[in-house]
Amino acid sequence: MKFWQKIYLVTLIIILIFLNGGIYLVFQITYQKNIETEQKRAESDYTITKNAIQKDMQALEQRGELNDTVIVSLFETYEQFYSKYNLSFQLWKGEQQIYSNVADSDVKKETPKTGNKVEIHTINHMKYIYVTEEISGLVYQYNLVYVRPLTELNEIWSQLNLIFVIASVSISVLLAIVLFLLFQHFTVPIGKLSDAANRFAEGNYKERVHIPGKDEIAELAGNFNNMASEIELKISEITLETEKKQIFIDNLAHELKTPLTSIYGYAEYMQKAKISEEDRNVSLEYMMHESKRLKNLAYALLDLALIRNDKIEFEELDTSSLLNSALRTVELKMEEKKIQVVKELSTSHIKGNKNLLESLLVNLLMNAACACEIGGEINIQISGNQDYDNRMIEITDNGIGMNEDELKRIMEPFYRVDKARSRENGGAGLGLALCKQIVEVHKGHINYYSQPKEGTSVVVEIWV
Amino acid sequence: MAKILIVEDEKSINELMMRNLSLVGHECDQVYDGKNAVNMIKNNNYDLVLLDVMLPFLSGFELMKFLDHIPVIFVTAKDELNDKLKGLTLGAEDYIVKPFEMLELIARVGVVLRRYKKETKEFSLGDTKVYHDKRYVEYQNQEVDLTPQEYELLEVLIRNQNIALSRDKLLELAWGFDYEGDTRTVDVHIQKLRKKLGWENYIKTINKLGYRLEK
Repeated sequence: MKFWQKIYLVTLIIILIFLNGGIYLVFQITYQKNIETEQKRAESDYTITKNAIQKDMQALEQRGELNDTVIVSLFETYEQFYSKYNLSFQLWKGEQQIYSNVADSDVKKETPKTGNKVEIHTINHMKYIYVTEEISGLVYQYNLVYVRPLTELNEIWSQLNLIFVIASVSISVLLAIVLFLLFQHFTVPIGKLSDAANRFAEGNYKERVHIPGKDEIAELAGNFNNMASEIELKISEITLETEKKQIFIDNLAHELKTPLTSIYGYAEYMQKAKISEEDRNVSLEYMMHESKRLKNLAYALLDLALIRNDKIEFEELDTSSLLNSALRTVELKMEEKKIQVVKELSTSHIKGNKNLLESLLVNLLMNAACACEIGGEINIQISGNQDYDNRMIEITDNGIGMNEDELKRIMEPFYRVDKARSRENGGAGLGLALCKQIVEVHKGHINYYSQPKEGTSVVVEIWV
Repeated sequence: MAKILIVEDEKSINELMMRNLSLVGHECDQVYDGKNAVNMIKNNNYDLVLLDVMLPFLSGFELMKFLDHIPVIFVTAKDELNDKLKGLTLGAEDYIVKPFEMLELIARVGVVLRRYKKETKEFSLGDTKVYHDKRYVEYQNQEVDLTPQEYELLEVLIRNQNIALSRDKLLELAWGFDYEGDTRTVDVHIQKLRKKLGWENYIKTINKLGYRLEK
C-alpha cells in the first residue's frame, strides 16, 4: 500500500473514532442531565402532591374518618386534576395496593421498596419515573407512588438518535472522500520527485524538478535540483578528464611504438638483409637517434610522474647561478645557432625547488632557441617584488612565433607545432606540459604571447 | 616488382619501409605528409600505397578519399579495434600495427599485390626463369621438373629475396604452420633447388641465420 494511502486510512479512522465518539459522549451526557432534571422535577412535584395528600389524610384520621373507601374517593378527586399532567398514582397500605390509576402497561411488577425514593424504570421500551415515599403522621404505613412516563424525553431522544446516525454516516463518508482527495493531492509532488530521480538515474542528467511553494517537499525538490546540477557538472568533468587521459595514452603509445619500430626494424635489417657498408652505417645512425628519443621520453615521463606524487621541497636559490646552470645545458644549441642571450636579473634570490626550476628554464630556453633563426636573440628577465613573495620569469625570443590556434594547444602533452623540427631534436613533445606542472607546483601561472614571424614571449609567475 | 608509395611522417620508419621493400624488388617513392601524398598520387601510377594514419595536415583516413582503385595498407601505432574497423571499412586492404617485423610487412604487401594481380609475372636470376602465374620454371630454356613442395619453397625464397630466412621460418612459410617435421627437410629441399636451378651461388647459407636468395 502506498504511503499516502496508509496515512490517509489511519487519519480517517482516528478522526472518525474521535468525532463519533465525541458526539456520542456529548449525547450521553446531555441525556443524563435531562434525566436528572426530570428526576428533580418529579421529586418536587411529588413532594407538593404528597404534602397535600398527607394533610388531607392526617385530617381525616384525626376525625376518625380514614378508611379505604374514603381514601379512594380522595384520590379520585386528585386524579381528575393530575391526569391532565399524565401522572398516575398508587397508594399502598403495607403490602397491599389500595388505589392505583396506573395503566397496566405502565405497571412495575414489584411492590415499592422504601429504599430508593426515585427510580427510573424501562417498561416496554418506555421510560418511567417512579417516586415512592411513606406518608408520615399516620397510624398505618402508607406509601404513595407517583408514576410519570417520560414521553417527551423518549420522543425527542429517539429522533435525535436517528439524526445522529444519519449525520454521522454522511459526515464520515464526506470526510473520507475529501481527505482522500486532499492526501492524494499533497503527495503528487513526491511522485514527481520520485520520477525525476528515476529519469536522472537512467542517464538524463539535465532532469530537474519544479515544485512551487516553501514547504518541506518544495525544499527537498530544491535540494534535489542542486544535487542534480552538481552531479551533472562532476560527470562532465570526469568525462572530459577521461577523454584527455585517453588522448594522452594514444599519443604516448605512438611516441613509444615509433622509435621501437625503428630500432628493432633497423637491427633486423642489418642482421638479415643483404646490404652494403653504407646501408649499415645509415641503419646504425637511425638506431642511435631513436634510442636517444626514447631516453628523452622516458625521462620526461618520469619527471611528470614524480611531480605529481612527490612532496616538493623549496629553498632560497641564487637567481644568477640558477640561470647560468640552465644556460650551460642549452649552451651547445645556442652556439650552434649563434644566438644572443640578454640577461636582466633584478632579484638576487628566488624561492623554489632547484631541480624543477632548472628544468623549467632549460625547457623554455630550449624552445626559444629552437624557434630562433640563426643569429637570433633571446631575452631573459627574472624579477620580483621585494614586498611580496612572487617572482616573474620572462623569456622572449625573436623567432618563428605561433598563431592563435597553435598557442592554445602548446601545453597539451605531445603537441608540437612543427613535428619534423621537433623530432630532429629528439623532442618528446612533453616539455611544456612539464613546465605547466612545475609552475603549478610553485603555485603560479604560465602565459604565452606570440606573433607569427615576430617571436614568442613566455611569462611565468610563481608565488612560493 | 611493384611501384609503391610510402606515406609516413616519421623519417626513420619511412626509410626503413623503403629499404625493406626495395630489398625484395619493389620500387618505392617516399612522402612525409598528406599534401605531398595527394600530389604524388595524381602524377603517378602506383600499385600500392602504404599509409600512416596519424599524418600532419590530413589524417590517413581523410586521405582515403583520394585513393580510389589503388590498394592501401594502413600503418599505425593505434591498436584499437575501432581504428582497425574504421580503416578496413573505409576500404583499406589491410591494417598493420607498429611495431612490425620486416617479414610481416613484406608478406602483407605481397598478399595485397597478388590479390590485385599487380605482382610481376616472371622472375629471372642466372639461367633460371620462373613464371609465377603458370607455376612454370625454366632452366637454360628447358622446363624444370619441381615437386609442389620445391616450388612452394622457391616462391618463398623469391618473395623474400635478399632477406635471410631461418629454417624454422622457411618451414613455416613453405610447409605451413601445422607441419611437425624436422628442419632437415628444408636443407634437403634447398640442396635440390640449388642443383636443379643452378643457383648454388645465389642461394647463400648465412651462418646461424638460415638461407638467403641473393639477387
